[in-house]
Amino acid sequence: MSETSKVILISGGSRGLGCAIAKDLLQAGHRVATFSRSSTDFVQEQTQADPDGNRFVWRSLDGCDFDGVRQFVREIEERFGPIEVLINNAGVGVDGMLSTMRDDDVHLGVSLNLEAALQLTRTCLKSMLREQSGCIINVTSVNGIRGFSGVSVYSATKAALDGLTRSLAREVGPMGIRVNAIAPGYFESAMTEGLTERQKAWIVRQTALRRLGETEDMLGVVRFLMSNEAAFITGQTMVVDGGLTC
Amino acid sequence: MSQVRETVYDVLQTCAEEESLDIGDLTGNERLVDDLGFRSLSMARILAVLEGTLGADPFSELVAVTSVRTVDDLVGAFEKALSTETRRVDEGAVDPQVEQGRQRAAARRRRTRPSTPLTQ
Repeated sequence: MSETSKVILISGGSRGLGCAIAKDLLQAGHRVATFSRSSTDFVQEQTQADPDGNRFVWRSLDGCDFDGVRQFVREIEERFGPIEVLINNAGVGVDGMLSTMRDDDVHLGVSLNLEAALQLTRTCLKSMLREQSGCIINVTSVNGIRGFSGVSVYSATKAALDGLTRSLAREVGPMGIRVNAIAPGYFESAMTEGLTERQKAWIVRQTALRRLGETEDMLGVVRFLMSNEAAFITGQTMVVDGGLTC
Repeated sequence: MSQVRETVYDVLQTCAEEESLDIGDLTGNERLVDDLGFRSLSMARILAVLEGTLGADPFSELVAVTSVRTVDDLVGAFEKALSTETRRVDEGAVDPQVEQGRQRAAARRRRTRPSTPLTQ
């Protein structure tokens, strides 16, 4: 895969980590397509700056609208060419004690965090198989690696994505398609703003580098995984947690 | 020879050459895996190439991919997909297993209504 402008599809790229990744990749000169349920300031700014969608395209889409997502992928392929990098970022942080969780929240977590990623990956794989080249990055979590009380459903879905990463890497590796995951630890984001100061302090104490992560800590890892410098890396989960789980 | 059959044969020959397989002149009766030697990943690529070339995906709704064993099966699947007369379930042209799977998936999605905004 060349290091020139790549065609990148990232789910949930309108806010949070997905937005930061999308911004970073646009600044690096890549073409970025993303979807999310609702627009944000970032989406509006980018759309105004690039009204013809020469390098940035956003659609209002629910990740669980599988037909809509398939159509969007086809649209992007017609506009930009084959998808070269897929970043499965969209997710929702369902939390609570499993024994008292509502059915809807369990289904939401599994559908959006896992099934939507599987469906999107299956769709994008087709162009990667045609090209015999591609890179898939799954955004998982330290919650999929270690147990934390109150996030059983979320943990299950993220651990499942790690399993997908390993098996899919073996499945499509012979076709030159790499599949890796990035597992962020706790970093300042919408998902952690609900933590109390006491909880944050506990996390910091458990972290070897004695701080919470920042969104920027993840960006270099994403760039690395999609670069030629990671050409012999596949099936791996890169844990970016300051040593929380070491 | 139909355009679909010609395209399928061309794609099979191209993919065979990439894998150093000698598949000879095709008659349609050949089994894709057992006779021609294509592995499952190769078949996945062949289907992806055919979908891109012919602009049709028979395996999302019409045909169960597991039913495709021979070259003729593959040609038939894409001819079915490209035939506008066979796209309706009530005409009985959709593979029942595929339709049941689609209905189960749709029921699961109806049970899930995102109420929490995406936060990642």
